[in-house]
Amino acid sequence: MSELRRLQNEMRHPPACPGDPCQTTERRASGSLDAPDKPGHDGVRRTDAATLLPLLAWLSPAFPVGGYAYSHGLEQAVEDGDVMDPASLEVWLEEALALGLGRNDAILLQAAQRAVAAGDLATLREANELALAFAPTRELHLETAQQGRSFLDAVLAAWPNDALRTTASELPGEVAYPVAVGAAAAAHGIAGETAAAAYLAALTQALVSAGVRLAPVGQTAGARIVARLAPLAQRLAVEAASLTLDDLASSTFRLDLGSARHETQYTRLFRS
Amino acid sequence: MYGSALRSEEFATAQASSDPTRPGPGADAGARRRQRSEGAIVLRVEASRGVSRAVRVAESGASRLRFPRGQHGLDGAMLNVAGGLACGDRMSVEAEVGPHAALTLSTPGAERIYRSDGATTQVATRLAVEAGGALAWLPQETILFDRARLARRLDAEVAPDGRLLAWEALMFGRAARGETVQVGDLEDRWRVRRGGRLIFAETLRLNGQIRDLMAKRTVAGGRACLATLLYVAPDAEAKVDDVRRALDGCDVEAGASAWNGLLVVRLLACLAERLRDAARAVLPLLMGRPLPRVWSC
Repeated sequence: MSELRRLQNEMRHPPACPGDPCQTTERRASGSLDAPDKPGHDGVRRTDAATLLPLLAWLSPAFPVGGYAYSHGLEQAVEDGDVMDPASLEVWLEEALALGLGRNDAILLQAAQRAVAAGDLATLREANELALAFAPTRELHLETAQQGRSFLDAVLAAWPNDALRTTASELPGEVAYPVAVGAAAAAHGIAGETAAAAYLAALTQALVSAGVRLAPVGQTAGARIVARLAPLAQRLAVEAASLTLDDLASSTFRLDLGSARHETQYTRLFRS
Repeated sequence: MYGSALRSEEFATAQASSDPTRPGPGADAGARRRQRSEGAIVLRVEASRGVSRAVRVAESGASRLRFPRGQHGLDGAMLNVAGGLACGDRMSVEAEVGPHAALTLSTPGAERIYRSDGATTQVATRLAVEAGGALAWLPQETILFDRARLARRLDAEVAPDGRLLAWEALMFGRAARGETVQVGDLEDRWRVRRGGRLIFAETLRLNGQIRDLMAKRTVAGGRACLATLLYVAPDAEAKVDDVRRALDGCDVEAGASAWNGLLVVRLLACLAERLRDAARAVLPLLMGRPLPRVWSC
């Protein structure tokens, strides 16, 4: 049994393949940019306000990114009867986070953050190209590319600095949303892992909010789901810190299939 | 019909590989697989005065390539004479289609990936379509047995006005024989570039408790067969409505989407035969010709 577990663990973290153009060799950048979490005098680990406040602003539903327009295939899952109550919504979200979108976005965000922190703009462009190519359908491509562009433009307009301007000039066209958030985090000295956890928590909140509008799920039930999935968001962010672009992978084949079917759904509240 | 030698070879292959652990005729094939079979096909096709011909063909190890006579262009039939793959077996295909040439590659039967006692089977496909060329990559399904471990990758480079059609189907256990895949390891990696730019990337990973994973609604909703169709061509987006109409008549769950000059269809079914029906309905629409003969056997 322990042998099987070892094998499964190996499967989950296969050895990197040498010479793979998709692999980032850049590891976590060292230095102050990446280490704002430190224990305080009372021994409690805390994230300082300089990290917390930009993330709260950028990942708020009020930030002009348009996240309210996307459901990442949840609308189709409700239409198909896969999501019909709080319990099935929670299962769907857990799978979307852990087996596809959430894990991949955490990897992409931190790869972009590391690249910008290290001044490696070629790797940043590579991460962006890969992130956009990983969008499995027309609507999920729109979801990440539209939000990414809007996010980067809004951060440039409202939270500009030299590092961000230099970075943004490397991303003139379509930008994947997690890449834009990772790049902005690095430009503002925010650790990738912290930004990824906040991003996944905000993503969970946005999808729960979509679920509350689409399915018979009440506000309080929705809030409970957000709370219960918070440790998962944190775990995925921590795990992704040691992963590279080569580790991007997804199991959510039917979610992607459903997203394609959403394009022809008769009435739609959401753009994905 | 193409050569009868090929038919009997395929028949012998199917016989020997029906159960790798069974004593008797199968034991021979099992012993051979322990030696880690390898196989490679390398080919280049070029057009001269409107006719496509293979100008370079190299086969090695257990791989064979045959060109059965066809009426609709150059059809290559790829064979693995080792009778299935297991453990650390490695197979590869590299196919280049030169300017304005056309090639269709398929297999006369399903490929089988048997139980592995450790090492992962590696299957690599590298496709290149040059200016105005057309390549259809249409192998029949790959059957995974319980505890199979497969890492597969498909890398393609398509010229801006080239056309690539790729179809890959996976079947987790032979449902008709009551077989299921409980545990295994699959990583299926696609990377497609057009004019040097990455336009499609996907890594499907199903590992560990595959049966439990496939039961999840976001993964396969309990179906044991899945397929992906990718079409990269100047007319890819214009074809999506035709493809959706054709899929409406099929007994599969399917979603077709088109953007940025590519068309992607994902399909799920309980039986591989339903996926083949869908392939027969959809692929000719994108090829502008009938499927190769090996598909109609």
